[in-house]
Amino acid sequence: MSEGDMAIIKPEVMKSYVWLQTADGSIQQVEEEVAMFCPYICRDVLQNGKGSSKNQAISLPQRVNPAILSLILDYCRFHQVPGRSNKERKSFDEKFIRIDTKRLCELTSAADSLQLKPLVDLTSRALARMIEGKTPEEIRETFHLPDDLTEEEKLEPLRNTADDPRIRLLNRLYARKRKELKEKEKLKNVEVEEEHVDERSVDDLLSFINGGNGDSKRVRPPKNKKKNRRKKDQSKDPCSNDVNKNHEEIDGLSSESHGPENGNIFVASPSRTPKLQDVTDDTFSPDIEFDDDIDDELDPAMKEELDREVEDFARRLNSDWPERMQEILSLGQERRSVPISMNGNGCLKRYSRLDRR
Amino acid sequence: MASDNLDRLSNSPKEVIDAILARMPVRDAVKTSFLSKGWRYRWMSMPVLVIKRERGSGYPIAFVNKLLLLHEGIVSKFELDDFLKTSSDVNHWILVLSRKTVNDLKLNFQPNDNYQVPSCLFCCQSLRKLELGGCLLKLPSDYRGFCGLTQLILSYVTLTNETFHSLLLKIPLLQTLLINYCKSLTHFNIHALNLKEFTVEGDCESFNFQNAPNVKVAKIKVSLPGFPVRFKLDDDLQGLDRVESLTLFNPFVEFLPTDIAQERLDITYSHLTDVCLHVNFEDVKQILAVLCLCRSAPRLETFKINAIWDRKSALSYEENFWEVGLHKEDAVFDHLKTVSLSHFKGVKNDMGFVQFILLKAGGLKTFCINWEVNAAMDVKKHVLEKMMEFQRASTICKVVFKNKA
Repeated sequence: MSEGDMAIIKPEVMKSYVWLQTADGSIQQVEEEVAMFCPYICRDVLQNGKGSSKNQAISLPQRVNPAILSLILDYCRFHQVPGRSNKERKSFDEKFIRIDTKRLCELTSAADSLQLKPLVDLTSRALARMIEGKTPEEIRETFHLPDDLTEEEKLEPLRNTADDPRIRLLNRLYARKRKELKEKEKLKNVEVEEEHVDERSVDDLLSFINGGNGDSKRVRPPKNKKKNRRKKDQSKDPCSNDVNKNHEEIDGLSSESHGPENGNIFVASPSRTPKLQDVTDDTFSPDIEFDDDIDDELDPAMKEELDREVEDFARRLNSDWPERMQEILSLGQERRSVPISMNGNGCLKRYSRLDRR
Repeated sequence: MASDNLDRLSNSPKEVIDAILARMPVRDAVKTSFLSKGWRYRWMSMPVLVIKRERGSGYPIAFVNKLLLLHEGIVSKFELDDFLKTSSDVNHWILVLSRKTVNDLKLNFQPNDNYQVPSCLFCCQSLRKLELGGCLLKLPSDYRGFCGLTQLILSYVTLTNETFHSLLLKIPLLQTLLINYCKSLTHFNIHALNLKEFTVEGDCESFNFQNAPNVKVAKIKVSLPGFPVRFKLDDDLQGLDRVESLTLFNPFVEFLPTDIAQERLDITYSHLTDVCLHVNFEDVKQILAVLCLCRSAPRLETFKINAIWDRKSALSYEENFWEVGLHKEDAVFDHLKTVSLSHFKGVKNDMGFVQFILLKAGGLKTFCINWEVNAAMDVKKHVLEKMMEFQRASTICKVVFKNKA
């Protein structure tokens, strides 16, 4: 059979047919232009000259059974007509793949063995859409896959744990929480600003009063601490430890006597602390180190006392905050940097001196 | 077993599984390990890896690291889109991919990062298609070329003219070349004997196609900031003898106002059938260039023109330019079948052009005219009336007016 015989020029009357044989032995004849749409068949006809008669039928690959072959031929019959618009073809394709998954899988394999690329593309895309975005359980159900992974295998992380939607959700919640706190801190930071300003002026005053020697030295660390405190306020990570909070405020409170009229400023809100005990706090450690510095200057006993006072104040501050604001704004000199290593009296004395003024 | 019978998917051949996995996001493909024992390691041999940055998640460095670590077998296609943070990891990926005989590689970086492609990229001898975006390209001293590369796409890549020339010299099988807005690449000395399709968009100053004789499709969209750049036909078109389809933005021929402009180009482009031009209708130099080109392309069949109206630095017409032209003997547009003209205003310049074509094109079938956006009704009416008077050389010509949205 020469290639000339198989040329696609045919008289109007006679239609050429190609003989195809599926793996189960059954033979059928198909219109030539339809069959030739399949590269596999086309090659067999042109190169090997087969398919022209029943006993020269083209044997199709094993994965092509008669039912699937009829589907494939429907596809070929439609698409081999040249005049169709893209819209028509697309619409046909969409309807064509609306079959059960079992047949869809068979169709894909058959199209692949017949090298019918456009059909492979269409069907594999449809199958991919059924897998994409679904949970393993859903996929197993759709395709009747066995659920045979062992428990260990299921737990083994083969992918980035950050991919886990639950962890991502949790992270998002934390981020949102941090954001809320940041907003709150911003309000309170207003006070810090003013306080800071006051602090400096007081320090200057002190150094002036005291001749500027040891005191000036003393004066400086608290400034840093203040800065750090502000930094800490602005950091996303909420503090889950009362002690550290308190230590921060100690320098500010050092002059504070125990009476309520002091109205010493609590900047960082201890009220924060109870809420966020459960949050992971990996940014937390640096702050702890910072707080340790303050501890060095404190007597442990004093520390405890101050902790209590601080808590006290915290509670009071939270209850009548607006009034405190007023006090804060009017007072402000109470910010003391006097180290507590001096006896408490000294501290109080200092304070009262200023007070008198 | 009954369940085995139903599970057609798992029993599909590897090519089918690979085809399915290639058509979903990589992360979903990786997640198929959780389906069943049979699926646990299937994704690891999928040859197509297309990684897109998902909205909301960070840049996938760790993910790709793990992916390439666990992947086994060859990678036929690796595509990484919109990757911002460049790091040494990317260099490692390219090295791994070169070992996995990657055929199709696409890497897009953010231009601000100035990422320089590592030398191991040039060891990927298995490459057939390479697409790079937003990076720096420098050739290593021992550059051996790409023996199998047929498609090269460079977008927003920084490379010098010398690098470009040397790069192409050792890509013998290059067939398709696309250059998009590559800074500091302005002189295109193209040495590519098998090159069939060439597209460039961006800064261009000069072209040399002498060593690219087989180019069939050439698209040159010149755009230099600051001043209107034009494609100097008589110089730059040399070498494109066999070109069949030509797209040019702002072609011009150089001449002094007192000279007579040349009638046609030095070479006749006998294969040229398809021309698409952006022409500034205010500039007579460009109109003359267009006519010059058309006279040098006797087999021209399809003609598409986008009209630009820019008075700046344009040489204006003489009063009777079109009248003179219409009465001259002019064998042009003999084979012209389809014309499409966009941004039509209906003023003297473009009306004259339309009249000229209708008069000369004996075989014209369709002339499609797209109105400019704000064309007024009375202008349209006037144009239509005038056009009825135009003599038409072709008896089968249809003139169709359209309003582009």
